[in-house]
Amino acid sequence: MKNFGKELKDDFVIESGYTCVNHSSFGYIPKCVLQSRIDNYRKFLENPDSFARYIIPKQSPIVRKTAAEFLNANFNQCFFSNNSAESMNSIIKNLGLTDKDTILYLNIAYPMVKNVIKYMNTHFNVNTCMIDLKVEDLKKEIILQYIEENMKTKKITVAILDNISSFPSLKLPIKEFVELCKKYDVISIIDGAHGAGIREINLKELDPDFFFTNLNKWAFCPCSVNLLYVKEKYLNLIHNNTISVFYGAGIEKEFEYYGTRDASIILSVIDGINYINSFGLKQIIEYCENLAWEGSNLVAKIWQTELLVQDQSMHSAMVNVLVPHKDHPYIMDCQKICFEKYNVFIVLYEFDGRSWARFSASIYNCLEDYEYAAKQFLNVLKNEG
Amino acid sequence: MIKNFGKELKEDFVIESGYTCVNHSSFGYIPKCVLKQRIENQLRFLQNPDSFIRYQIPKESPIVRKTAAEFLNANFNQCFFSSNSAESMNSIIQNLRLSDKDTILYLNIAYPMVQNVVKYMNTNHKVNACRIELKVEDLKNEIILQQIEENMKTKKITVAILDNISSLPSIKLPTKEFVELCKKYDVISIIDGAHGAGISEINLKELDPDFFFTNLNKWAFCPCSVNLLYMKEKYLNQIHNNTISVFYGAGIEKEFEYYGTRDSSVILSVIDGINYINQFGLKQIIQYCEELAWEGSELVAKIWETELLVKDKTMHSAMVNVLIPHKDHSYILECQKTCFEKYNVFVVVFEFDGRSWARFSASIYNCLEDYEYAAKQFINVLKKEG
Repeated sequence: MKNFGKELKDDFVIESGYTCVNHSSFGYIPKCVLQSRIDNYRKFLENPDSFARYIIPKQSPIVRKTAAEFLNANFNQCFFSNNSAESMNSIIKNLGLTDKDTILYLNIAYPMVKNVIKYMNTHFNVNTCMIDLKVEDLKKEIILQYIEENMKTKKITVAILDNISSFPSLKLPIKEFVELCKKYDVISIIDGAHGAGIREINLKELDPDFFFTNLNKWAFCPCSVNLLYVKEKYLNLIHNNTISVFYGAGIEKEFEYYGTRDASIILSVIDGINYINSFGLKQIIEYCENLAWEGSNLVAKIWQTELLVQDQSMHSAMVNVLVPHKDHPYIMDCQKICFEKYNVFIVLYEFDGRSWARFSASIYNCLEDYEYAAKQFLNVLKNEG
Repeated sequence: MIKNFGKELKEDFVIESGYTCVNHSSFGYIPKCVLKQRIENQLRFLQNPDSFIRYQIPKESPIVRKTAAEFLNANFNQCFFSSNSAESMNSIIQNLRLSDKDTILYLNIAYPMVQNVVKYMNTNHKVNACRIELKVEDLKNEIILQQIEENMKTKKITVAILDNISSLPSIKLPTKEFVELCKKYDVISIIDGAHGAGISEINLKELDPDFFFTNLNKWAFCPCSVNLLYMKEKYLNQIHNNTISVFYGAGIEKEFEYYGTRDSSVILSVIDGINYINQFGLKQIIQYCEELAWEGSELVAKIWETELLVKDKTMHSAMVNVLIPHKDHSYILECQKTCFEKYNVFVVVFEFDGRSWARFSASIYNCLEDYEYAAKQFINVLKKEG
C-alpha cells in the first residue's frame, strides 16, 4: 500500500501534468474505481433493459446498505439521487411550506440552497430568514448563538446548515444545531454535500430530520452520486423532485428510477467506500486536514496575506486564504489565465467584501502543490505570469 | 465501407453478446464508434472536471445544441438539454403557473410519467385533469382528433399533451393536426416526442408547438440518456429547470447547462449519434425500421395466432403492438422474466383495453429472425413448454 502524497497521484485519474488543489468540487477517482465504473457502464449499455429492470432493483438496496452503514444509518431511510440539488429540491418542495412558514439559513449556505429558498419565497411566499455572518462571526459559539436567537424570537419551520460549508469552507457545529432544532421544534436539514469521506458521520447519533451528502466529492465515487437520508416519519411525505413513472409507488422506487439515465454509476459507491476503508477513514481525514492547513498556511505566507479563520479546529480538508488583490473581476480573469497557462485551477469567491481562495487536500496531494499554485497565481495577479 | 442494415450491422453495436434485442427503443443501443468517443469524453471529464464543467461545456454545449436543433429544424436558442423526458416534462408543467382554474388534456395512452405529472399537479395544485379514454377501436387518427377537438370545444382546456409516437401502445399520432387544434382553441400544446429524433422526420419550425421534447438516446444513437427540450420563444423567460440549482434566475440556457454535479460529458455524444444517422440517411433508417417492425410483428402475430393491435400500417413507426395469446397479465409478466432469463430476449408487454399486448421495436441491426426467435421462445414459456 502506497503512502499518502505524491506517489499516490499515479493511482488517480487526473489529467497528466495538472496540479489539482481543488479535489472537492467534483471529486477525483482512483484508477481502480474507474476500471470498475467503465465495466459497469458497458454492461448497462450492452443490455439496458436487463440493467434497469432487473439488475438495479436487486443491486440498489445492497449499495444503499453499504453507504448507509458507512454513515451509520438505516438503509431504509437512505436513497440515491444524482446530486445535492436533486436531494435539496426533493426535500424542500415536499414539506408543504406556505406563507405561514419560515426557512432559516446562513449567508454562507451554498448558492444552490439559497436559490431553492428564493424559489420557495417567489412561488409559494414562504418566508426566509438569512443569518448574515461576517468574518469575525465565523466562530461556533457565535453561529450557534445567532441561530438560537432567531429560533427563539421567530417561528422557524425549517432550518438548514452545512456540515462543511463551501464558500467559505468551515466545519460547522451540526450536533448542536440539530439539538437546537429539536429544542425549538424546527425541521433540521444538514447540507452534507461535503461529508462522506472527509468527516466522520454518524446519522443515528446526529439524528437530523434530513441529511444529504455527495459520494463523489470525498468518497471516491465518480461524479455524481448523492445520498439522501430522511427520518422515518417523512418516508411517506417526500417525493423525488422529478415526478416520473414510480410517483406514488413509494420513495424507494421513486429514487431507484426516475427517468432514463445511467443508474449504473451507483455501483461505484461501493468501490469508493472500499477504497476509503483500505486506508481507513480516520487516517484519510487526518492527512487531508493537516495538509490543507499546512498548504494554505504556506499559500498565505507566499501571498503575504492570511487565512480567513485562524482556528484549525474549524476546518476540514478545505481552507480559505485571503487573495492579495481587491478587484474581484480581475481576480476571476487571473483564475482563467492561471488555469490556461499554469495548469492549476484555484477556487475563488467573495465573502464579506474581500476575495478568498479555497484550497482542498486529498490523499494524492502534497505541499508542493500548494506552493506551485500560490506562486503561479501570484505571478498572474502581478502580471508577471 | 458502409454495411447494409440488418444482421451484419449488429457487431458494430454495443449489444450484449448472444442477446436478441427486439426492444431497441426503451433506452436505446449505440454503435461501438459512439461508445469509443463516449468513453474518451468521459475520461477527459473525470481527469479534469473543473476544466470540463467550467470551460469546456459552456463552449461545447451551444455547438451541440446547434447540431441537435438543426437536426430537428429549430433555433438552437430555443433548445436545451436535460437528462430525460421526465426532467423536460416536469420543467414545462411545473412552470406554467397552473392552478385550479386550469385544465390539462391528455390521452389514456400517454406515457405513465406524463400521467403521473398530471396527477401530481392535480393532487398538489388542484389543477383539473381531462383524460380522453381510447379503446382499441378508437385508435384511428380521425377519432383521436375528433375526441380532442370535442373536449377543447366543450371545456376550457389550458394545456394539452400528445405523444409524437406513443409508448404503450405504440402508434404514430397526428401531431400536426393536434397543434393546429391547439392554436384554434387557444390551448398550450406539448408534444411528448420521447420517441422522435432519429425515427421520425421532425420539423419544429413547421410543426410550431409550444413545447416539444425528445430523447436522443432512444433512436438517435446517443448513449442513455439525453433529452432535448424545445420551447417557443415566449416561454424562454418563464420556464425554469425543475431542479433549482446555482444558475436559477441566470437564464434558461445556464439553468439547463448546469443544474448540479453530474457527468454532462454525455451531451457531446449527441453529435456522434446524429453523424451516425446522417451517414446512412434518416429517411433510409426510418424506412428500414418501420418496414421491419411491421413485417416482424406480423410474423409474431402469425406464430402466436393472434393479431396486431392496429391494422393500419401508416399508424406505426418502428414499434408495433401484437396481441398476446393469454389473458392473465400477472402470469404474462412472470413469463417475460422467465423468457429473458432462459432465452436472452426481453419482450415489452403492457395492458391496454382489457388485454395484454407485446411491443416490438426495430432498429438497423435487427432482422426478421429476431422476431421469429422472440415469438417462438415467448410462446414456449407461455405454454410452459420452455
